[in-house]
Amino acid sequence: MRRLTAVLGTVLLVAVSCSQAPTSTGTSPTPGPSASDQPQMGGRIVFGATGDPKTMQPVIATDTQSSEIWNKLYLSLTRANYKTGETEPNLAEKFALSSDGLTLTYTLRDNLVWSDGTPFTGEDWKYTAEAVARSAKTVRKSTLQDIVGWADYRDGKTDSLAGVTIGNNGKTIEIKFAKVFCPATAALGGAGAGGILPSVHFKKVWDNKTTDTKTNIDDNPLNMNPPASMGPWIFKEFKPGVQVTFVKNDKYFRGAPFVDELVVKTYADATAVKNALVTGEVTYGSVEAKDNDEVSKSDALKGVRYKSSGYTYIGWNAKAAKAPWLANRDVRQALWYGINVNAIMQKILFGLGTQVYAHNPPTSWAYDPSGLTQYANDVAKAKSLLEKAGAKMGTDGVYRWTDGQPMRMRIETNQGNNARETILQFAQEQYKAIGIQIDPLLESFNALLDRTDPGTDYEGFILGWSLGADPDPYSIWHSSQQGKGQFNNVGYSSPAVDQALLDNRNGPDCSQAGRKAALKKVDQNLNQDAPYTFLYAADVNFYANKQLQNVDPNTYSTTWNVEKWWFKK
Amino acid sequence: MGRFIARRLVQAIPTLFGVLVLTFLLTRLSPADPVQLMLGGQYDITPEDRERLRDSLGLNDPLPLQFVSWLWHVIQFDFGNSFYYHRPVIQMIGERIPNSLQISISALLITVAVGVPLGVLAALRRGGIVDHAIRIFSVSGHAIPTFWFGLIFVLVLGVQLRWFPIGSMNVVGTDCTFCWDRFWHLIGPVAVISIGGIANLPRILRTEVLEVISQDYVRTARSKGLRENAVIWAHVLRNALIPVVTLFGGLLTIFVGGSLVIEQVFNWPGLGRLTFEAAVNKDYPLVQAGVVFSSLLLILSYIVRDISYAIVDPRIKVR
Repeated sequence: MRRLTAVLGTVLLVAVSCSQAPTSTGTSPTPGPSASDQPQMGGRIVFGATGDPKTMQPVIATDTQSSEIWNKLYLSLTRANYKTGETEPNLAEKFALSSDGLTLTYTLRDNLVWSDGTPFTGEDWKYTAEAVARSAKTVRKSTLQDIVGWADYRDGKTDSLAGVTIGNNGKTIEIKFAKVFCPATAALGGAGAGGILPSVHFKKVWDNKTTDTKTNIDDNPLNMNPPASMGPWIFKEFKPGVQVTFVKNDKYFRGAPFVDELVVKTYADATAVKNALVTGEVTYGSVEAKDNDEVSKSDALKGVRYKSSGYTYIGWNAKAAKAPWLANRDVRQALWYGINVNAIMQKILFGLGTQVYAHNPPTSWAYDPSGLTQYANDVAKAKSLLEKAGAKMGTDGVYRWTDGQPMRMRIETNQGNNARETILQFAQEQYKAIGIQIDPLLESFNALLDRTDPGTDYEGFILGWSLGADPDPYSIWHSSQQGKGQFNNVGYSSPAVDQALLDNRNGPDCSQAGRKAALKKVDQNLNQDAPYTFLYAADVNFYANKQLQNVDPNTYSTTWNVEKWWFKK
Repeated sequence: MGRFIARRLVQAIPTLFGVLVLTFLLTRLSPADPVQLMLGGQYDITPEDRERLRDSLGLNDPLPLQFVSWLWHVIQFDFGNSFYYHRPVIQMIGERIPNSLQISISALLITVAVGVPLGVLAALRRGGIVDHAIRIFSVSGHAIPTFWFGLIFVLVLGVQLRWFPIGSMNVVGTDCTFCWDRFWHLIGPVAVISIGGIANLPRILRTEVLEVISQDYVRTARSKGLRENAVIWAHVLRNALIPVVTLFGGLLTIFVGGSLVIEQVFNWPGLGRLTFEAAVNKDYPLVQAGVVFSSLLLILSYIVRDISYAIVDPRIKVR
C-alpha cells in the first residue's frame, strides 16, 4: 500500500533521465521488429497478479493489484517516458506552466472518446479531482492541495473547485495555484488520482456538484465494474480468485491493440506466477533475482533487465518507546556500519542491483552519490560509535544503553518476501556482532503497514519504496508528515531537510538544476542522519514470451506500447 | 430413518453453537482493532468519527450482547462486508464453496475407489509382497505432509515435465465445469489430497477384513459353495465396512483441512484459499464466515456419516 502510494504520490515532472539502457538476459536478446515482420492480429496476453484487486477505481486504490486493473482503463493527461522518466503528452497534446508558476494549462487532443463513444473532456478531469477532494478513503489529497479553492470544496463550503476552469468546449483545463508547485505538470495530469474517471457514468452514483461532504465516490458498484475506458483495454469480466478479463478498445486514441484480449490472472504468490511464466501460462512479467537463473534457461522466453526506480531499506524509529537509542544519530550510523550490505546484495540479488546511500535512486535525475558516506561494513567503527553515544558493553556481549537497559529491539518485515526475510536474518546475525540483540518479527504486509503507521510501538522495519519519475520526497521526510497514515514513520525531523524539501516543491527555483541542488541537500542530510539504513536498488528481471513482438519495457513502464504488441506465429 | 436424521440435526446444534462461540471469541481476542481494520486507508477520519463508528457497530456493548447481535446476523447468513474487498462476505463465500466441493467430493470418491480395494487386497494377500507394499505406502502417505506432495507434484509433473497443469481450474480462456479441461486441472489437487485418505483407509480395512474373514458365517458361506468374490464383497466387506464408515468423518476432516493448503498450492479458488488469504489480510468478517462455513460442512459430513452408518448397520437406528 505504502509503496504504491509512493509511486503515485511522488510526482512526475519534466525530467532529463539518467536511466540506463536495458540489458538483455536469458537465452536470446529482445528482437526488434524487422521490416519483414508484419503484425498479426489476435491472441491473448496473460499477466500474473498475486491477489484480486480490492477496487478498480483509482481514487481509493492503494494496492498494486488494484493499480494493475485501473491503469488499463483510466489514463492521465501526461505520462512518464518509459525510459527517461521525462513527462510527455498522453491524453493532453500539450501542457504549459505560466512564467509565475501559478497557472497550469492542459490542452486535450482532438476527438478523444471513451470506449462507449462518450466524448472525453476537461469535465472528466475536474470530476475526478473533486472526487479525490471528497473521498474519505483516498491517500492522494496532498497532490491537489495547492489548487485555489481546494479547502473550500473539500470542506463543503463550495460545490465546485474554484481554481479549475474548463474552456474551449472542454478541450482546455486551466488550473490556478495558491502557491508555486514545481512538480505540478506531471503530478496533476491524473487529477490527483492517477487516472481520470468517466464523469458521465460516475455522476449517476455520486454528483460532484454538492456541498454535502458525507457523500463521496468511495462505495458504489462502478468501483468494481468499470463502465468505460480511455485505455487500450475495456473491462469485460471479473471472476474473483480467478482473473480479470479485458478486450481491446477499438477507440483507443493511439490505435486499437493488435492483441484481442488481456487477462490479469490471479495467483497465490510470486512463485506460482514464476511457474506460470516458465510453463507459458503467463505471457510476461518480472521474476525475483533468485529465480532469474532458472527462468533465463527457458527457450520460450526472452529476458530484459533494467533498473528499478526505488530502493529497499531498514527504517529506524527515532520515537520508539522501547529503543530510545534510535533517537541518537551515532547509534543509527553504527547500525549502518554494522551491516554488510554488499554481502546482502550478493545473497539476494546475485549482484543484480546498486547499493544506495540516500533517498534519490540511481534512475533519478536527482541522483548524485558524490560526497556521500558509503558506510562500508566495519564492526570496530560501529562499536566505537555506540560507545561514543554512551553505550557500555555488558558481560553478556550486549551493549547497555545510558539508562542501563540492554540494547535489544525488534526488526519486523512482511512474511513471504524472501529478500526482506533474508535481510532480517543478516541483520539479526550481524548486529549481534556489534553487541545489539535483534528480535525478528514476521507478519503480513497489511499488518506491517498497520504496525508501522507513525507511532512509538515499533523499532526497526524492513520495507521498500517505489518512486515516481519526478522526485518529491516531501511526504516521506518532512517533519510535518508524522501523523497517522503519513509516511515519515521514522520520526525524522531536520529543519535543513524541511527547507530543502519545500525548495524542491515550491521554488523559488523550479528549474531542474535548482531542484537538484535542493534534493542534494536532502540526500546529504539523510546520509549523515541515517534515519534509514539505505540498502539497495534492485534490477528488474523482466521476461516475455518469445512470440510476443515489440515488447520494450524499462524503468517507468513495461506496457507503454502495448497496443503494438503482437504474436508472431 | 426420518426421525433419526431429525435427531442428528438437532444434536448438531450445540456443536455449531460451540463453533460460533469460539469463532466469535477468537476474533474478539485478537489484538487488532476492528474499527482500525475497517477504516483501512481512511486517514481523514477524526477520533470522534471512530468512536461513533465503534458505537454503531456495537463494539462498546458488553461482549455477550455483541455475541447475541452477531449471532442474530449469522442466523440470517449476514456476515457483513469484507474489510479488504468491501464486498458482501456471503457472496464471496458462495462463489467459492462449489469450487472447494469439487475437490473434496472427487477426493472422497477416489479415496474410497482406491482405498477399499487396497485394504481388501492387503488382507487377502496377508504377509505377501503386495501386503508389504501397501503397508509401506500407507505409512509413508500418512507420515508425509500433504502440502509436500502438492509442491512436488507442481514442480515435477507441472513445471519440469509439463504433464499436468500447475494449478487453476481451467486453461485461461476456457470456462467450463463438466469438461475435460476441468477434469485435467482437478487431477493434481484431487490426487494429492486423496493420498492422505488412501494411506489411511487400507490400514483400518485390512484389520477389519482379517477379523471378519475368520468369522463362522464366512466359513459357512464358503462351505455353501459361494464364489469367493461373492463371499468377500457381499459378506466380508459389508461387515468390515462398519468401522470404516466411522473413519469417513475423519477423512472429511482431512479434506476440509487439507484443502486450505492444497488450494493455495494449486491456485484453486476455493473456500480454503479464501480463508487463508483473509487470515493473512486480517479480514475478520471473511475469516469468521470461512471458519463457520467450513465447520458447517464438517458437521454436515458427520451427519451424512452417521446416516451411512445407520444404513450399513441397522442396529444403530435402534440405539
